[in-house]
Amino acid sequence: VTARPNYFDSVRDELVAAAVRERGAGGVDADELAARRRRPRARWLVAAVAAIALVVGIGLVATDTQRVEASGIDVVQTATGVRVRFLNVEHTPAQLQRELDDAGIATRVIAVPTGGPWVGDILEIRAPVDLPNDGIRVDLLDVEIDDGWQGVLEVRVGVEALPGEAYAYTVDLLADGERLHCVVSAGDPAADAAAAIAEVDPALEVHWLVRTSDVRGELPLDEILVEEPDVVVDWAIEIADGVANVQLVNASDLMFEPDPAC
Amino acid sequence: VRHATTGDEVSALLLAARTEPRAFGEVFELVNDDLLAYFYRRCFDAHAANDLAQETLARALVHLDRFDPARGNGTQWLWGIAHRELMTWFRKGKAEARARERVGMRLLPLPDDALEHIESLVDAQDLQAALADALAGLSPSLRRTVELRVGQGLGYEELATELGCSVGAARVRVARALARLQLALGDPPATEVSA
Repeated sequence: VTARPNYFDSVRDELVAAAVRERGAGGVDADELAARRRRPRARWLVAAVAAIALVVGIGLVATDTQRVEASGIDVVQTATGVRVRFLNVEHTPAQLQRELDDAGIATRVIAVPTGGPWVGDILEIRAPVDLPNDGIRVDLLDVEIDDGWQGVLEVRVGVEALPGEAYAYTVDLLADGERLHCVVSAGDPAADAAAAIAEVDPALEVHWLVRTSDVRGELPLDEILVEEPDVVVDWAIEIADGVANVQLVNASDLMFEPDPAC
Repeated sequence: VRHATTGDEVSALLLAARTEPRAFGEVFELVNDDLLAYFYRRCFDAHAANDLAQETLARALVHLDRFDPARGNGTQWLWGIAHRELMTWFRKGKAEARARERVGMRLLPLPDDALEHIESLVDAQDLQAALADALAGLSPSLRRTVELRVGQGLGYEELATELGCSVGAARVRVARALARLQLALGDPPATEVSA
């Protein structure tokens, strides 16, 4: 195991500053914490470097690259090509397409109808599969493109589905922040889940899907409970605005655990 | 030097952090390397492991008042959250950032030395051998799913075409295959926390 890099001290400071803000014990921010930690060793040096950086408008990290800022992407020229980071902000396909075009990166931005947390989110970044992968590397929200790469990058961005339109990218209804989070949990008996949904969100149209060794498919809940009275919820997704699929399985076949925060 | 973390230590710090927020920094010191190793062993991606570890701790911070030592110690509670984050990553293909955004944490880019540190937390040869065993233990259809999605990088629409199923079914197959790989590579119990 290597010695722990300073980066993790910065992460720790971010976390502690967040804890201070969350728990209301004062307004110390991460920069201040980092500064306090550094002061005993080189307070004057840190201050001098920061001041110089501010005046001449450069970062503290030495680099031979040229950075182009845009609102949805961060493009850095590297020695071999460009590195694009898709920022964690709400994107619109048109704006993103424009920014990528302006940066000279051949891209097709595709709008994907969805809802909830996915609207404005980057859902997928990929290079066409009919071209060799040499020359491009996709790593979650970072893309490195070598000079000379001839392909067109594909980026899928979530947009709000039209009323009644099926989501091409479904929403996990049990996730934190979604309409059934902590209302229904993985492992809940089907009847309990149905009652909880009816109480909290009576307008939600639920399709009950069942998957056991004996019963499989979409059925009315009454019929499922006659055949498989002990089935429990495995997952629940929204497939269009106000329309959900809820998967029921035997407890021994659960694919997901209940959220411990509930 | 890695810590031989005990659940009771973490429990005490989580409880202390409710009134003395800086105690959360001590939680970070105790568990961060173990969280990074846990995620890296399952994602094979240091950036994702780092994002998931930060999101886990941010989520724990948001839900600090829900920690109940009567229902399990601090590491069990944290690893429960970590497991949930991992499952979300399997399904979405990227780490959540909501908890970090909620508490106002900046998303710091991972420098090379930190990336190497994460990789050093896990024995790569052991990991490769364990992964080969885990893949061999999958059904042929799930193994094919992993090969197409992870190995060849197919999108879900192409994957569905290749597998002869709906896009939704393809997503479920990927989630199921990765979840089974994760299980085969080891459960996330508190005992794993000790170095």
